Amino acid sequence: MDSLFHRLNFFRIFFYLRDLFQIILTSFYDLGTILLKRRSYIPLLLQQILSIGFDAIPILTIVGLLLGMGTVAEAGLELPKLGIQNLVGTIIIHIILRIVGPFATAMVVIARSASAISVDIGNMRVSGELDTIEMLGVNLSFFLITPRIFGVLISTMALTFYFAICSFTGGFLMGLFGLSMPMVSLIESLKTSLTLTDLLVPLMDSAAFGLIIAAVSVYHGLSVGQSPNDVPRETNKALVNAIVLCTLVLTIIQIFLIFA
Amino acid sequence: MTQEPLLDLDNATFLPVGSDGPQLSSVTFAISKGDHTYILGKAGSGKSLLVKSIMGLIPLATGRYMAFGRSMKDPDNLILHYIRKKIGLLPENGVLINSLTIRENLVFPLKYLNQNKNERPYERIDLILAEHQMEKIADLYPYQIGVNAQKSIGLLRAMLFSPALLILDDPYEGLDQDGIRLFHQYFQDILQNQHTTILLFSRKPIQPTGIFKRSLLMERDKTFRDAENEKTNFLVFPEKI
Repeated sequence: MDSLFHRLNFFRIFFYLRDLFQIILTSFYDLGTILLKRRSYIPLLLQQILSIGFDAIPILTIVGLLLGMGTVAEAGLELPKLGIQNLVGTIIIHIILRIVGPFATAMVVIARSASAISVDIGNMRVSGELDTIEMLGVNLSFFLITPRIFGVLISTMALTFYFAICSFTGGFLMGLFGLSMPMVSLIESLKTSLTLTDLLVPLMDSAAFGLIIAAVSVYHGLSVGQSPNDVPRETNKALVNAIVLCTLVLTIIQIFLIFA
Repeated sequence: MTQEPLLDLDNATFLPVGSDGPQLSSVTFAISKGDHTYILGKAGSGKSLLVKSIMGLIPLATGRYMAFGRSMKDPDNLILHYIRKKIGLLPENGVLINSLTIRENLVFPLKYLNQNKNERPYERIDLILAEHQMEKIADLYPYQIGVNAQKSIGLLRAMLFSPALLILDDPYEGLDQDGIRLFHQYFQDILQNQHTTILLFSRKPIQPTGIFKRSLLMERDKTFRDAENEKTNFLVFPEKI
């Protein structure tokens, strides 16, 4: 009985992931249709990018600056003790650009947008608006799902690089004023450490995180039934599952990079 | 020459996705052009389910359902789009989209369904709002206006494409006497253009004089049959409330 229970759970996870993939693939197909045939939906996409991306800028600026300052302060104090102060640039790039930047941005997007999307769609289900939109003949995916999926995807990718810029700025400020590190050597150290991979990895990370966050929040928004109690329950699930899946993907990408 | 019915359901059973069994079965009912029909049913009798089934939201499991000459057995998107454009709908719940203003709610179908690229939806909607003295509420959100106004806007939206069939799901719910009077006035206006046929579902036996040609009763756990074919479940309402 126990093993049957575990097998059922395994299948539930499998079906869950399959549904997420289905949402992502359908929205890619629908994006093509929107761009080629249904251009009246394009403003909805831009609106989502604005509301998800631009509104997150203040909080990301603060988090990015503080994180950059903290990382450089730690590196600037501890690395000279080990005699590897010339690795400050490499360490900052690896930590901020490749790991912490994309992940911290994803966490901010989850906190701000995953919950908002899930609650928004869930409330529309409870109030009957989703049925109304469908019965009016408007495609639910074009109107509601695809703009949100690509709004989150594009915003997460753009915000990740914005976050890195803020972190580097914070790091420079800390290096310059807090640690009295020579600015030229810090920039030189960053320049020599920065490779194309360092730019491609955060791009890949943020794209994966964006798709996961969007698909998970849309899935749980649509999973809301007729009861208003379903909305907080599904939102909670969306947040937890998005965090777990993003962490899992980050780990998989890092392991892949080690072996590659 | 006999006219093809707008809707023709013959022993139709509808099975919602993910449900254990049919929630609406053995529906036999037809409505032709000019056949203004009033269907009375208590709460939970399946009125909204029938509306959703007619609109293609709940799949047909067995029996036959033809809408505007098209079979609704596993309809593709083109058929669904065709019949949904032919039917104007005022739903019971979620009449308006809460995140859109009144003007945007009215523009919504014109923007996303209309193929006429030369039409300027906002200008057309502003004219309609001015015609019904509703310009003042154009920039408000649905939660900022009363039920009478919300349902009136819903009805105006349903009539945007001059539909062949207008389905009203419990339109009187939440309306006060003024709202009911206003709706009856709208019905008279609709009757005058002779293009749209009204199919009204209600839980309240409020029926205006001289509009509906037939009245049917819908009851839970009973076969829903067209009163003209079967003399069961037929209810004649008094002429006046």
